[in-house]
Amino acid sequence: MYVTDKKKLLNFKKKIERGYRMEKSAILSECPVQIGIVVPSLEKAMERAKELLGIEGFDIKSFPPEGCDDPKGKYHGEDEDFAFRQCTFDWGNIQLEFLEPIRGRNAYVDYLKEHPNGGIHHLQFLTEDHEKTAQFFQSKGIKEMLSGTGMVPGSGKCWKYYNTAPLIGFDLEIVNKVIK
Amino acid sequence: MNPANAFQNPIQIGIIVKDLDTLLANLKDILNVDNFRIASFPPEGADAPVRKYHGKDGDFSAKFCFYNWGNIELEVIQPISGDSVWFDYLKTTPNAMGIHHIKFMVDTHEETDAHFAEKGIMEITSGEGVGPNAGRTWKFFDTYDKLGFDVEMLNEIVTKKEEE
Repeated sequence: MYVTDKKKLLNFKKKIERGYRMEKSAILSECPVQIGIVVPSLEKAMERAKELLGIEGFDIKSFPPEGCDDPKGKYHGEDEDFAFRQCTFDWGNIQLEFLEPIRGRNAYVDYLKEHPNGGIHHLQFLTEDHEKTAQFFQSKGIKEMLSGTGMVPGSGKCWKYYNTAPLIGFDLEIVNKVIK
Repeated sequence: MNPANAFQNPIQIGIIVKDLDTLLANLKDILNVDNFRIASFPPEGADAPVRKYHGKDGDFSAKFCFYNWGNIELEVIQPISGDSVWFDYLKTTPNAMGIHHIKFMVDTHEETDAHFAEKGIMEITSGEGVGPNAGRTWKFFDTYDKLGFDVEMLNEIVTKKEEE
């Protein structure tokens, strides 16, 4: 009855892998790897995703990650002690993420002030080098809004949000692929 | 029905915008996204396609752009005239743009129509497909407040009009 074309799905997955295997000269992966939705309640979001879309089995994590002494949280360039909860689901060809802010100043709280019921806040792309992407965005006059250490302690990863919503309708989250 | 079967594979992210040309220039500048397929709906010179807005006959038009990211398609819509879900979205969103919907494809609409009706989710806007989607119907469902995006459904199996 439904579209369950495994060949198509496999092709999509190959494209995602290609996104991870970026050309050396590329600043960002060639395709987005995650759709990020900010919500007022993670529990309600997961309940509704299950009821309406049949999605369940989310991977739930918190920030700061458990056992992390230095989460390196920054809000508009200043040190900030913020916290949020996150759940992710591998959705065929892209990852789905729900985010619920818990405390502190952060981009998710700001988003909910303008969208009280939540909404699609960002698309995530990968980079091999945060310094190069930071320089690129700086050259465009685009500011970093929020950053922090990766959700898995010790992974060496770092995520950064850039305020591109006024220009393209969504913010960009950039995560480094290469561990330094 | 088990909704997981119908919604296991999102195929498109849809942006609604007031000023398409500026958005496309910004997408190229920031993400190097270029070479969009651009189309008008309804297409010029063709018979007017069937359109519905909240169940009643609709008369709306829009400019569409499509870009294939590889794993998922990006669609950008600038509503031009008439009542539609796209104008409704622009009235409520800051910056006069944002990601509005995620699209899924099913063989036929019957079971997902019944699923959303059972959950009390209304169909907001629908239309007869044109171009590569001729013979298909696209439908937007009002899931925004529950999921953070509206759901668009498209049927894969093409139905031919009965010969007159």
